[in-house]
Amino acid sequence: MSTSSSSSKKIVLKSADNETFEIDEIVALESQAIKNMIEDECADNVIPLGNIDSKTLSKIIEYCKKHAESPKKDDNADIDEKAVEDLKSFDAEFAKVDMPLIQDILMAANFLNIDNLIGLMCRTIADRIKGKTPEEIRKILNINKNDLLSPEQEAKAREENSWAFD
Amino acid sequence: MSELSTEMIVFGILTWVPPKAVGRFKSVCKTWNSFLSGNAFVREHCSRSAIPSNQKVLFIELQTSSIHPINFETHAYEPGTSITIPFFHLSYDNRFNLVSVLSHLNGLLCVCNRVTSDLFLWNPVTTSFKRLPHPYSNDFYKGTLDAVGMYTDTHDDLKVMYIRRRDATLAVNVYSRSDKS
Repeated sequence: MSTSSSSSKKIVLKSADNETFEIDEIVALESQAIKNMIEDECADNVIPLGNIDSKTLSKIIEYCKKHAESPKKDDNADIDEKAVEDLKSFDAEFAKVDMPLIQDILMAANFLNIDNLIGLMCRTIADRIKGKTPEEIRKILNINKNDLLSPEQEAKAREENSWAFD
Repeated sequence: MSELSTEMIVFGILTWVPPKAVGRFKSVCKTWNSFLSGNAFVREHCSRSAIPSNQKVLFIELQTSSIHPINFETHAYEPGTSITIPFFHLSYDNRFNLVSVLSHLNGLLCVCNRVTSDLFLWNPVTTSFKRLPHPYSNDFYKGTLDAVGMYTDTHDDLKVMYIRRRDATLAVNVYSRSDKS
């Protein structure tokens, strides 16, 4: 795929581990948070993202590039069905990563305010945990031990929802 | 990076899991238990079921009843799971289902046993049900004369409106879930 012309404006992002990523402004605009910064003219040279590591950030940039290149739904009434399918299969492939990375991407997407990506990650996590037992869930999502129900409360919750356990 | 916020987990993620998982997840921890039982979560979760891939259809046939997902690409009913109707609903010879669905709202059904004319609120997913009190001692629901509808009021209370027509007079009864009347 061709990259955009060299004349387009570039934005530089810096990850928590000090790696820099130079991307086209149009790609960065997928993030509502960065868009606001650019509009408020407080994004001069490098945008430091002190809470996002380079592994997560490069995944996010991969996502934003693809979505920035795809035709937007509201651009014209004539939605290209092939482009929609293409984006769908990209999203499905994109989500095939391990749970810790998915959680990191979700938190970063939330911080950067990238709506579509937040939705994609939430649905992916929901899909992966829906068949799990409460014990497995506590492990996967690192539930605070102090927040557990008492044995009596848990027995009651299971009793009331016994339909959900068969 | 730090942990996902509770708000993100509950409203972002858990509103996407199917009802059965919600039931199980009430055992995960105190925070989840209280959020998953709350009105705000229920409302959000119900709004997800308007998405085509979550649409299901309930079949009550003469002798069987089952729930089937709908495949919107092929417009076909997919193989379903059979369900048991948890309240009295059979004909005198115990062979046929005599249940009519009168109204539905967010997965909750208001049904009628055609012989005894008892009205029930029934959630086929959780199998829970409640027999609605009769406003009249010996004059029950009549399909040809009466009408039933369900709605939620501005306080998220479920209401069942029962409009009854006898001898050219209309009577309107409203059942409210919160005060059970």
